[in-house]
Amino acid sequence: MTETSPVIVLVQRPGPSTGLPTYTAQGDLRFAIHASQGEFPRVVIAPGNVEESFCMTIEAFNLAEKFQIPALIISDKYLAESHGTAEPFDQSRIGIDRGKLITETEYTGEGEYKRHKFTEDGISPRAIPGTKGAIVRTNADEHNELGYTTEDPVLTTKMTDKRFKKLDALNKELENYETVKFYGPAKADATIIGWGSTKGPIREAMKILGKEGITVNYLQIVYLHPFPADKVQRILQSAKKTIVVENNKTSMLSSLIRERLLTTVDHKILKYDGRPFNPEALSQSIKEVL
Amino acid sequence: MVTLDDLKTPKTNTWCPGCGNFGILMAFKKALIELGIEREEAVLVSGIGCHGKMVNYVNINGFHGIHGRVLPLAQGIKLANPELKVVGFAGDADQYNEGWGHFAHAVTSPTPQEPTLT
Repeated sequence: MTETSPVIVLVQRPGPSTGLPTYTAQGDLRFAIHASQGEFPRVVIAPGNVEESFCMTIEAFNLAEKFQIPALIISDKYLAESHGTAEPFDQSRIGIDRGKLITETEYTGEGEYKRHKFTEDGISPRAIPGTKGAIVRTNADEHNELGYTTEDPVLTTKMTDKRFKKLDALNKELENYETVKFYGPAKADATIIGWGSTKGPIREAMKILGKEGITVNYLQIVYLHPFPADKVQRILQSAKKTIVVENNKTSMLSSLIRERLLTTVDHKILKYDGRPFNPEALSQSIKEVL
Repeated sequence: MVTLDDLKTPKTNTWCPGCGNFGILMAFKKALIELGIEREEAVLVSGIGCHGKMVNYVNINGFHGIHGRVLPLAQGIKLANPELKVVGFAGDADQYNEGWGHFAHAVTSPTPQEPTLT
């Protein structure tokens, strides 16, 4: 409601309640996507390894600030607390984009500064409190452009629409992002679908299977919300068999694919004992369902 | 110098006649004037309850936040820019019930200000 730009890191472990401290799980996906009072746009990003955790945290900050929405990074115990080596990060690709932020010490815009000004893309320029000539007022209650509380039905509708306009702008921006990643040959015996920290074990399992003459490819869904429906659909259309691999009981990713694409996956390999997948055991499970 | 007129807002006050908040509102405005604090230098933070509407009645920077979170908001703003004069207004249930945990943390945390109870 205040159009603040938090970046929230959700590191999952098994639940419910205190659950199994402190082992790993992927059971909070629906929580990350849905937990809210009311409706507002957000972005949920799931890095799959050390490098992605670094790069996608920067993406999360940029998106949060540019669209003035919460950005959630969904990780888990296995990814967040594992030790590993990585190639040096390519920092030339890193840019900081703070969006429509007024950095001048004095506000020189047209008319009175309005924190929640109606704009074409729904994004209002942000002034920093202390900027001369700008009174920055925001409000957790529904408000008008100036941030004053309102109970007006017309304005309430208009403000909700303003906040959701940012979703269109965000979707457009995400077209240029690597919202999904694809590994392996275009044609394969099966397509593995996963998100987050299962990336490492899945890629190892692919190698093991490859040695045995079984070719699988792998679709990593990086941006889980907004869901990259077109990109996922394009890949699933040409898949011979689909297998979802997840560290949870109810296969939240399968349900998300069903919800967004009206498609059911062929097989699910689920593990919810607090431990990450083991490449050998995973390759065995894949062979069993093929 | 800021005047009472500068601090006026277009919002109609909806507190009940005789409410003690009117006295707090006027005292706060007078304090801003007496201390010569410019409108852009001051931030008003309020919580949930009738008092929360204070943000609507003083034309300075403001953040009408959520229940119990006046102190962490005020501390955050102060940390981001210690030059700002940050004043938090909280209701009784707002601060001493929902916000009690934050209150204890605010008292013990090493931020530049400690909450002063009035």
